[in-house]
Amino acid sequence: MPCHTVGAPVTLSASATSGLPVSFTSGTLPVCTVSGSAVTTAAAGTCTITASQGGSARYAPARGVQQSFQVNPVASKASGALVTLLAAAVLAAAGGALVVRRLRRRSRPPSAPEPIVRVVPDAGPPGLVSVHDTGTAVTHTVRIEPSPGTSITTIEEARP
Amino acid sequence: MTPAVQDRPHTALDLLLGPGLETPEDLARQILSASAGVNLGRALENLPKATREAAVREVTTAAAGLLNVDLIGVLVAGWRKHQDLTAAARRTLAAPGSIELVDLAAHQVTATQHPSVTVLVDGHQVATLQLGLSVVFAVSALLAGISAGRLAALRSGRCDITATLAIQTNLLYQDPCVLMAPSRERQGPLGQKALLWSRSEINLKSM
Repeated sequence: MPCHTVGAPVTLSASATSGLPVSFTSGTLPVCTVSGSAVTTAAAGTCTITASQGGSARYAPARGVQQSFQVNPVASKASGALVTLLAAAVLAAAGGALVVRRLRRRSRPPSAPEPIVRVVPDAGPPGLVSVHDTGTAVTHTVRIEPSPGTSITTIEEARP
Repeated sequence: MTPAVQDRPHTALDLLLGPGLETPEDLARQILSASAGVNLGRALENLPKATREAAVREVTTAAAGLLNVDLIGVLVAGWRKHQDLTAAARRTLAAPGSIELVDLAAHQVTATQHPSVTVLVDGHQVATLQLGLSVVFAVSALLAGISAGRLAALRSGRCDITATLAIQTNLLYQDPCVLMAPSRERQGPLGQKALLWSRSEINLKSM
């Protein structure tokens, strides 16, 4: 799989031989997220996408097909060529086959500036931090949710 | 020489800190150097550096806050279940103006808490840091003065505290591995002055 650059949009395309719709999920949050067929690469690392077909009354669900690609930091060089991929098809027990056909991306121009990161700790309530990367125009929010959990107090008395 | 009251631990965090670990940041560094911290680092490794650092900072601050457990409050919660103390509290409530001295035999109050810190990045839950805090009070030869249902005085006796901290990190979007960090255990006395300094009278009735 070719590499992509942080912030570069990637479009997924897949079809099932059953004709049923195919859905995508990211297994590597927060490197990449998926909305419909659009992938947003938010951080450097390995992005793994799983394509699934949930089946119907006539067709059994197809086993998910995973494809991974590397997401490089913005400073890394990448060509802007259209990438076509063919993924292995996985046959489900009742014949629902799934083929991931293409993965298209548009890369950041080579002259893209180095990202500037700005941390805004006071952007919201306690435990919420926003980090804005001006290079990719991506803002990450980190939210912390503390929970006191369970608490048990016991006493053990020495009895004569 | 008797240490000053201020030197006594007032919270579980105070007890877990100490020589070599003097600030919550020191504890955070130890948490992160343990296997649970490595695991947390894995959950965050793909984030930009500034985001990762902000996440770690917020997690450790939240974890330190959860360990800020009032030791006196924990001990009193145990004493509210002590038969001799609660019986004396009831009797002194029934007889206004009466005072009872209760000679407490050796007993042990144990408090276990399991707080957690969940990390969400861009709305997605990426990891949960689970803490296991155990505080054990070993109390011996303590004389308690009870009046009007309240603990009004403590004399002699000894109270040793042991705090144990266990940490594990559950990763939600990577390999589902769970690692236990080494427990951190420290022992120390809880001064009686600290007890009375914190609360002049302690209500022994169930709250």
